[in-house]
Amino acid sequence: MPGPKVYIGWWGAMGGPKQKGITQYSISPYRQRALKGMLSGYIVHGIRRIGAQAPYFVPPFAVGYFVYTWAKAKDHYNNSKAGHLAAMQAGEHGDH
Amino acid sequence: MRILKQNPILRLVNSYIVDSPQPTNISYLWNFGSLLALCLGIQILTGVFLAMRYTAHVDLAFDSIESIMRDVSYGWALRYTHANVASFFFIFVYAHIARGLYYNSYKSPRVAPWSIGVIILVLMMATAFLGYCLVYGQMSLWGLATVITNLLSAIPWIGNDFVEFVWGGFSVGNATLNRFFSLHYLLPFVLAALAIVHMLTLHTHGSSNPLGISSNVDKIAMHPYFIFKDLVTIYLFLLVLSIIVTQYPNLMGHSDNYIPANPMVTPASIVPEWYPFYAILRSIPSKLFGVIAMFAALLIYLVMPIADTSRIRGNQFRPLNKFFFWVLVVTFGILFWIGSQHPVEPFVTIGQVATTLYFSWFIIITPLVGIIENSLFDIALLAKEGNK
Ligand code: HEM
Repeated sequence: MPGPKVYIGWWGAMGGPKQKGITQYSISPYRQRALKGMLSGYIVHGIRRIGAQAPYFVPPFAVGYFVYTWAKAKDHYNNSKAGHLAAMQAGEHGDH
Repeated sequence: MRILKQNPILRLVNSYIVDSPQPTNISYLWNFGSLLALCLGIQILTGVFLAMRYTAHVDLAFDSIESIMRDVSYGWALRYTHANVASFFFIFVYAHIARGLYYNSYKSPRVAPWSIGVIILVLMMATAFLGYCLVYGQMSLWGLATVITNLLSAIPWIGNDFVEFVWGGFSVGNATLNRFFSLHYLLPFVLAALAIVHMLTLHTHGSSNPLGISSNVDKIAMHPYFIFKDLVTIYLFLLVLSIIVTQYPNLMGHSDNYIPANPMVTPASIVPEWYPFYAILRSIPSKLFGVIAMFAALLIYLVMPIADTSRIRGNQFRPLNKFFFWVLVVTFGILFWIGSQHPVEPFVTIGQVATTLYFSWFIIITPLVGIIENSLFDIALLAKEGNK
């Protein structure tokens, strides 16, 4: 049956270049420490990796946070005594 | 082991979740698919048991749920699990979609899983909306059943008749509750079927990976590697879920929904749980165009495979697009927050600016960024050629 182009094969015919000379090394499972250095490594490298992304996500979040705090303060003022007075003087609120 | 490879049905299981070749380098962001499947499973299971005692009648619905919570052994666990997993379902689906946007997973050859995903998203929202109505508290009746169905009245010419047709009466009532229950039971199974087609279409070409290039040179089997990696986040989720269900079960709910629905009293303020899309709806003065914009805000994800003009898949090597990805995330967050605010200044203007930014992200920014990045790559390559 004709089908679409498929981008992946099955084991042994995956579609990549032919692999040769594969060597596997392993140490005894009794000597392995699966989580060795995971936490201490993350403190250094995790922070470094996230830090490297900071130029991309910090500016948008900073602008978003600024808009959020500004609008909240503005809304708070609009609903305060001073805000009502100012609005009334500007003739915005009609007669209440 | 042989039977796993020879039995016609087990062969499928084997090719999907045992021997399935996976890229070695997929990150934890590729774990959300299995979490979503788990959520759907939990929802169907808990839902079927809730339905054994739930009563879809305007006089009994609210009390039948309270009865599940108080009189049925561990009924509270069943109900709170169903309610909270619904919230997690959405958190996970947003994360899953964000992964798709960040790594440009929607690009050929994965247009089909992406497009089916968008349909799944729309259907998920419909299912959640119907389910929330079933509780028949004040928020069910006013926040959702009334406000959302009323949107249909914006359809030109037939709008008002159509809303009454949907209600099965002149207001939200018993007929409405019954049909909502029927559909809320049906749709998750449609979702399950779509989720299977989602994985079917993904399986044809396999998962993408953070580098965005073919990983055919470097695959490992789903089992044990990714089965156990998926289990890490599954256990983490179950841990957080059990803390929320047993300690903070109403954290993500609204207190007004503990007041039985009363058609004579409107709640102090109506906040549908659709914040980002509700904000888009409200930022457009015309009701009809507001409703169109709200649906367009969901369906616009379908344009991504065409809108993204970049020759490269994934943001790993696309600095400009990476920046604009975060712009979209923040815009979405702002819409989320604006939707929960009263429609007064300065929130109205902020909502309108965010709505404009949201739509331009898909139809202007994304194509433009792709063209700019392509051109910069070309220029850099040409310069390199010239130096030879
Ligand atoms: C019930 C909801 C859903 C379920 C159960 C589900 C399940 C899955 C699973 C198991 C995978 C493979 C593992 C992974 O990459 O996480 C996957 C991949 C994918 N999903 Fe979903 N999904 C759902 C909703 C969605 C939605 C709403 C979208 C987009 C709008 C979507 C788009 C994709 C894409 C593009 C991929 C391939 C990602 C890649 O390999 O780069 N899915 N999904």
